[in-house]
Amino acid sequence: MPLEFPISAEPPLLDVRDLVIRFGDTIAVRGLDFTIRRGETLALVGESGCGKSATALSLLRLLPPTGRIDSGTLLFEGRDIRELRETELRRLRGAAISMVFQEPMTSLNPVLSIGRQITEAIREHEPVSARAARAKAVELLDLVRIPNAHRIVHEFPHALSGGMRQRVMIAIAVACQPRLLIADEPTTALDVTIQAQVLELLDRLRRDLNMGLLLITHDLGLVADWADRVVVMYAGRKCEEGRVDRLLHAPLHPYTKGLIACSPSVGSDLHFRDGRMPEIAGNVASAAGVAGCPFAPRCASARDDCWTARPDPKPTGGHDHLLACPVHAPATGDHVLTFS
Amino acid sequence: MRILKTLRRTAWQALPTIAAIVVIDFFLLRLAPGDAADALAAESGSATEETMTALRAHFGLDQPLIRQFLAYVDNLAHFSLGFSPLYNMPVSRLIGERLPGSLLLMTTALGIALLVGISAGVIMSCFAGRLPDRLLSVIALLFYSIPGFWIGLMLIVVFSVWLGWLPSGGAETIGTGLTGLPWMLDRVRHLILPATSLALFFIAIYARLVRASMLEVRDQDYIRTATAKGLSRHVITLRHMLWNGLLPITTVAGLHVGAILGGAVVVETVFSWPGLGRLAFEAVLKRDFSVLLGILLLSSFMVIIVNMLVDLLQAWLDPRIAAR
Amino acid sequence: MTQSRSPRRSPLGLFLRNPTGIAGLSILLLVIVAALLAPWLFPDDPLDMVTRPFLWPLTDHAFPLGSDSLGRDVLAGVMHGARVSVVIGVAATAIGLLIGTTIGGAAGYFGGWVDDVLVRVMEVFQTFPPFLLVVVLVSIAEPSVLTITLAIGIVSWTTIARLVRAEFRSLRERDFVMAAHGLGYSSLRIVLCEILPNAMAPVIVTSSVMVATAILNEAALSFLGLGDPNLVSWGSMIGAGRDQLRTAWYLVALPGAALALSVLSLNLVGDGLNDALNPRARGR
Repeated sequence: MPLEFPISAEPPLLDVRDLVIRFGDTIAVRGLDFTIRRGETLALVGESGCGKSATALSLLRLLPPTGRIDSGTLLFEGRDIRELRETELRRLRGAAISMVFQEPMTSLNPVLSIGRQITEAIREHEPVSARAARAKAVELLDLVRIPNAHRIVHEFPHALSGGMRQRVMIAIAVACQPRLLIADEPTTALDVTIQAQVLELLDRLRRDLNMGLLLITHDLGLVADWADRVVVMYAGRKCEEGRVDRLLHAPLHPYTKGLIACSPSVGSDLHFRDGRMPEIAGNVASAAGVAGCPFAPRCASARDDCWTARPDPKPTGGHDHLLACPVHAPATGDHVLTFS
Repeated sequence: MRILKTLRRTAWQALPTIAAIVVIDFFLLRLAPGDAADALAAESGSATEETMTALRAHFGLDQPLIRQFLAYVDNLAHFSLGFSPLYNMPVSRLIGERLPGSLLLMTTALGIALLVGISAGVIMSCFAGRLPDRLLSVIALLFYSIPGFWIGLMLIVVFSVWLGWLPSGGAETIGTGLTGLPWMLDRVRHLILPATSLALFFIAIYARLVRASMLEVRDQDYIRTATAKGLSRHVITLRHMLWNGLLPITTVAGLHVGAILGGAVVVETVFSWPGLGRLAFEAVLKRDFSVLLGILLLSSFMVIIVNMLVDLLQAWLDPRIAAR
Repeated sequence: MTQSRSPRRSPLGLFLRNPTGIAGLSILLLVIVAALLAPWLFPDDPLDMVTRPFLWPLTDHAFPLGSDSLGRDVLAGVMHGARVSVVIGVAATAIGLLIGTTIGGAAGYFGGWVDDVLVRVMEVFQTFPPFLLVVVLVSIAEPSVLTITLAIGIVSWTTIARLVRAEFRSLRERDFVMAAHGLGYSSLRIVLCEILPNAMAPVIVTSSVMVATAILNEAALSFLGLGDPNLVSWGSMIGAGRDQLRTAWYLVALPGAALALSVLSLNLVGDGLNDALNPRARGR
């Protein structure tokens, strides 16, 4: 449930500036900025290929060998993650920043017991005995609402369903009480009925541990229900950012408007029998090679200058509402929107 | 509990195979021209009609084929493998005398192969694509291509003839009456060269297998999870990757028993090692079928038993298998 | 129905660009050339005594690899031995391929009880230690090129049978096979024209290894004295040289090196073929 919170003077938990990620010759993320505070849920939303998963992986420097962070700063509690040495990074992983991945079916080691996979996370970061760690593991399984925790601790992953495995992943992730939890499409591979449970769990843990939660998803419905703020990405760039309640009810960027229209639960009360469902014509690949706004090929309101000049996200006057579209910026006296 | 279930299942499945092996063994060897009586007669130099008939009657070689087969199966049921005309003792005793020697050689060779092969494979996978990997790959390929008997002979040339460090044959130095630690050391010295010759081929196989398997495991999602927990590379390699990476070895291990037995025939011959391999070779030359049949049968049984053990091992190592 | 293969990166092209494959192929060609040229360069029987015994290599221009205990030319022996190895290696593999593909293909394609029976047969054959079985088979019939080739072929078919069975089982369910059924093609035509070409890749890779194994088996047989008594092969040379290991070790080293090189070349070619035909299988 979205929170009302005042703009805090306290420095953000995570401050990402100008992140550029490249895979081989392709640039997946171009100059992305965002911040997350403790206790808030930031959703990173966009279609497949927009770079949101790459962003998540880069925060823990878990990019595959083909990917690299070209430039940018990733400030976590004031320190740049990119500058950390291997040993310092390992201390961060699993303890200060944790991650839950998209595929619960393959994210657990099939030959180690559930308990083992939890206790090794605990014992890596905290000096506890094996017995204490096991007790903690059972507690954690209870915390994530897995029944028969005492028995499950000795089981192997193949005995659990997808939803249960994802809960185990969450248990592992919060074992050492991280300050930031990154959830990369945590429910995409799960049944709809389980999705709500898992997200409710994540939200509860966020509140109890006062964590920052970075929720990566392509589902605007989840964003509407569970996030405080949202960053909309397209082809590696931020198009719009703002508080969920405001942005989803009064979107400014054509892409955001398109996404909302396409998402039946969030948008109108359309049904396919009423006529053709709304869609955003074209696909992401059309953004390749466009010097200006990457959405221009699919945008109904694109002007000539949209193709040549790259729009940067600019404040639009609302609370923390950023928009990267000169065409649809609300006209205000003192905000002269220029092209970069 | 699941171990017992697997055991019962594999034992049940092995029965028809065992039966088929016994039948094939028997009839195969009866196809050969000349029998033990001929060979014995040729050895002793005297081959009159009467002595031949008497020999044949004595060893039951003049009975109809079916009778001989039934007699053989009956013997098997009593764990007797018949009598060897040439060595003049029960085959089972003959085999029993030579079996420990072969077992020692083969298990040592297998142990060496697993130890060296797995370590090499892990190292190769850690340095995949770089110099250590390429170097070890070439060496592995070399080991895979060199025939066991030739490398055995070359090792003798180097370590026995030129350097004089190791003995050139036999299982122990006879006539010295050593006991305790010196005796063990003596036996080890005799064991090194033959075991190594036998092991080289399998070192190559396991190294390549482990390398490929580890590289496959490295790309799995659960390794990324392990990294995200903050575990060190050592822990990830040894605890997460290795266990999964070793599973394919158990699959091929069963297949290798036969190959090791075959390799033992030549290696034992080269090093005059007192074992079943050399016994088999002698039996072939002298046409002693009961011995040969006994060895072939025993080898097949060993393969079946090892395969059963491997099934059990797999069920224990991989929790997913027993669940099926 | 065409095979699923992109024309640009054809397997042949990939193979030719692979250094290991090229190295192996070069050595292999050397061996084959030696085998082919042997009767021309050394027309006399290599078992003939032609010079004094125990001539060391590189001491006499006429006999660059020296002579053995009976004064026989080592180089002639090595060249003729190449012939024996190549012929028996290829022939035995051909037999193994024929038997294995037929049985494995039938098992994989028909399934049901045919599969059950044939799998049992495969299992029974696999429990025999291969080399021991070869020794038994060769000693039953008198050792000759024919019996050796047959014996090695008979022992080698199970590996390829298993492979072919697995391939056929998976290919049987594929769409293009079902389409062929729908068009009314006969079983035989489907097997030969649709399934078999797509199953060839692993078979080709395995066959180079099979030739290597066959050559090793033949060498081991002749080393033990079970080879064709009228021929000189690398194994028999090593076996004969064994008694002079201390003084004339080159008699063992030279034919053995030739043997190792030939087998190595086949393995290199096999690796190269594997890289070319199964690019995704190599984890690099």
